[in-house]
Amino acid sequence: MIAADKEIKAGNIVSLNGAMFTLRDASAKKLAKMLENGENTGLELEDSAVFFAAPTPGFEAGRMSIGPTTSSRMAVFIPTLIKHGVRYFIGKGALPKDAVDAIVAGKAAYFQAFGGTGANYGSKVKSMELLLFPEFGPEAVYKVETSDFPIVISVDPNGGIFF
Amino acid sequence: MRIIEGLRIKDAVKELFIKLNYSPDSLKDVVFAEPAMEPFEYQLAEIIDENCRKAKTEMRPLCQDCGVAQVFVKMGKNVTFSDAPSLEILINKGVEEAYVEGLLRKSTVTDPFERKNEGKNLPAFIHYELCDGDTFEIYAVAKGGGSENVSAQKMLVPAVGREGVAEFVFETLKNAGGKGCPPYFVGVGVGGTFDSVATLAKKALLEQVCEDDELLEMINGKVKDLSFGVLGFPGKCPVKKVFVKKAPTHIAMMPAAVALNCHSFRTGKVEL
Repeated sequence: MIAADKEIKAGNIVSLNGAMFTLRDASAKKLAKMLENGENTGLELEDSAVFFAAPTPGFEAGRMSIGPTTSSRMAVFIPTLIKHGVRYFIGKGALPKDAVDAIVAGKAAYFQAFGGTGANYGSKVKSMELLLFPEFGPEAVYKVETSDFPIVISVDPNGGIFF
Repeated sequence: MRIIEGLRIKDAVKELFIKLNYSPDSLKDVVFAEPAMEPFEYQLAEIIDENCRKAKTEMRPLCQDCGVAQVFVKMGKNVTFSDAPSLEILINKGVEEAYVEGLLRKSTVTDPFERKNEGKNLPAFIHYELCDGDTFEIYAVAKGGGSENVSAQKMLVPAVGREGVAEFVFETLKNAGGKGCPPYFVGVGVGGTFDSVATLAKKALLEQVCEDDELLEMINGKVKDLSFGVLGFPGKCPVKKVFVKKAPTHIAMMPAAVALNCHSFRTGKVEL
C-alpha cells in the first residue's frame, strides 16, 4: 500500500511512501497472461501500486538506480491489472484513452514519475525484494519500499487528467 | 609505427563508460533549473539537477537505463595495438567490464525477435574512422532507449533548404514530446547518404559542434512554438542545446537526421 502526502488530484506534485511492484514489457506480459488464466501469482495485488520500471543492480551497495519507463507500452495490460486489484500505476508519459478510461472506471490512478532521474529515485528505495520472473533480469518483478518518492498525479480517480 | 597496449584500450573504454553513467563531462557545466522558468517547470528541473548531484556523490547511475554502448574510434594510419587480434575484442571487453563491475543495467538484447539478454550489454556498436598520423581517440555514448526511439531520419528534397530541415527538426521534437525525457540535446545531421546521415547526427552530439549557424538560428526560432517543457510537462524549455553537422551529398538528395538525446546526456572522449 502506498500513501501520498497531498491530495490525489491531477496536476499535484506529491511524495509517495510505501510499496510498489516493478513491472515492464516482458514481466507485464507474462503476469497479465497468468492473471487471465487464473493462475496464482503469489503477489498481493489488492490496492497495490505498480511501477513501470527496471532497476540497475547495486541495491546492497547503496548504489541502485531506478526510474520510470514509458507507460504506453504496458497500457494494454492495465485493465487486467485493475481487475485483479492494482490501484495505482506509476510510469512515464501519456496513456492512450482506453487505458485512461479503465483507470477512471476502476477508481484507480496514474502517476508520472520523472524520467531519467534514476539516481534520485534509487535513493528513495528503502528495501527491495525479488518476487517473480528472475529469468527476465532487470525486468523481473521486485517489491520496492519507497519513502519520499516524488511524482505528479496524471489521472486521478475522479477523472481529472494532467499530461 | 606507434603500438598501443591493448589492455590500455580495454581499460580506457571501461573507465569511459563508467564515467559516462555517473558524472560525464558532457553534463559537467550543465544546470537545468533556469531562472526564467515558471515555478512548476523549475521544480522539475531542480529534480534533474538533484539527480545529477546524487549520481556523482552516491555513485548511482544517472538513469536506470544505462544505454546501449556506442563507440566511435578515430585511428591514425601509423597506429597499431597489442594483446588482441581486433579492436572489437578489446572494446567489447571494456564495455562488458564497465557494465558488470560498474553496476550498470544491461539493456542490449542479442536478437531483435528473441530478445535474449545475456547480461553483458554486448555487443558495443562501433564505428571506425581512419586518419593520418598517430592519433588514437575513442568517443563513447551511452544513450537510453527512450530518446533513441524518438530520433528520426528523413530523405528531404533539396528545394526545402534550411527551412525544410528546421521544420523536420521541429516535427521530430513535437512527435517526441515527453517520451524521450526532455530537455533534449539535439544532434542534427544534414547531407551524406541514407545510412550515413544518422551517424552524422550522432556525431553532432558527440562533438558538440555547430557547422551551420543559419540553420541553428532557424531551429531555435521554431523550438519556441513547442507546447511542452521539461520532462514533457507544460513549460517553455523542451530543448537544452542544438548541435549541427553537415556533409556533402547527391544533387538530388537532402538527407536529414535528428538524434534526440535525453537530459541524461552521456558522451565523452579519451585520447591514448
